[in-house]
Amino acid sequence: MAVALAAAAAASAGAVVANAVLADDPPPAGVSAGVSSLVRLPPVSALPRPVARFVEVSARARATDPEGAKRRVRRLRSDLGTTHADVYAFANSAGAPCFILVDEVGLCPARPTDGSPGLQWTIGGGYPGSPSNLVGIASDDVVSVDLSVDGTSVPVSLRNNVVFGEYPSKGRHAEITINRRDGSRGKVQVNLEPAGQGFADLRYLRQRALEEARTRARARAQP
Amino acid sequence: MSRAPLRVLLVLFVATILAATAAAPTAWAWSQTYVSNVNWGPASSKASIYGQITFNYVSFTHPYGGLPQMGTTLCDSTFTSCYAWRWSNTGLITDERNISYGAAACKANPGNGYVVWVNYCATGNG
Repeated sequence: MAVALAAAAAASAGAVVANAVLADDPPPAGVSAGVSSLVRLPPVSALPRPVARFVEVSARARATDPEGAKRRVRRLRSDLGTTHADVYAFANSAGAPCFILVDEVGLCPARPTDGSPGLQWTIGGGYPGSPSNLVGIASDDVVSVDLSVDGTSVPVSLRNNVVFGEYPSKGRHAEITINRRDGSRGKVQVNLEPAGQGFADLRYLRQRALEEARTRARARAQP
Repeated sequence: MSRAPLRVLLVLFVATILAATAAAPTAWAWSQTYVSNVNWGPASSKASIYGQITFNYVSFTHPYGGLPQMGTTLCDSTFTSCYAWRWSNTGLITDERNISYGAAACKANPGNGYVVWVNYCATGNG
């Protein structure tokens, strides 16, 4: 029997919706069980430029007032990984957490219920000087997240609702395991397509576009 | 008519262009929405035009069920060297990496079991 014990804590400022459910219920969708760090931690008074740009872009994409969003930004983690990157986040008007790992990636779901139950994640993204990583926002009912890349376990930290783990960019397959307080867990499989693979189709598309452009140019040049 | 005034005008014109370039680099900012409003099956992808890139945005939804994943990357101008794909099953994804001259790309993960609706993939600088 599914009985919701608590629901809906969305305030005008976009607080993340919180639901509590019985242990035998299906897990709350996305991060709808709540992301308390977005309320508990103090707002950041001065945003770094990349963070301000991310907030402006992502807030507009989610029908959220950018200036109001800037006043709600929290720095959830600092000095992460090889690039010593920080994670900033705010709740959009629907209550979904939008976050940025500075200079690497941002994510802004439309709703708190989007994505995998318990974790709104993004994975990959290595570039010269930086390995790939898993970064995401976990809901309050998540106690840990495990990451396995090509069968090898990768350390993942969870603090202030942010998960982070770094792995070599040559990885081909990732398995993310989301462990909840009630003992249940969810798994996500990701085909990583490491650097150097999976680009043949892009090269083909690029070549085809160039050939089409040349054909059009020749057609225009003919009398 | 003497050529001297023409030379002066030419020098002034070039100086003006150089001054504008130095003072307002954002004048060269560009952007391109290279995918919009399309259904993509597994492994579908597209790349942008070339340029200096400081962002790549990938917006998508999953109206046909499941949690299909989308990815973003940046490549050099020959597509022989690309950054690792960055994946997620919820968007908007904002790729915050940059490349001095190359193209951006977005892609539906080859492992997807469902079609994904791509709202847009957009890149540029500035």
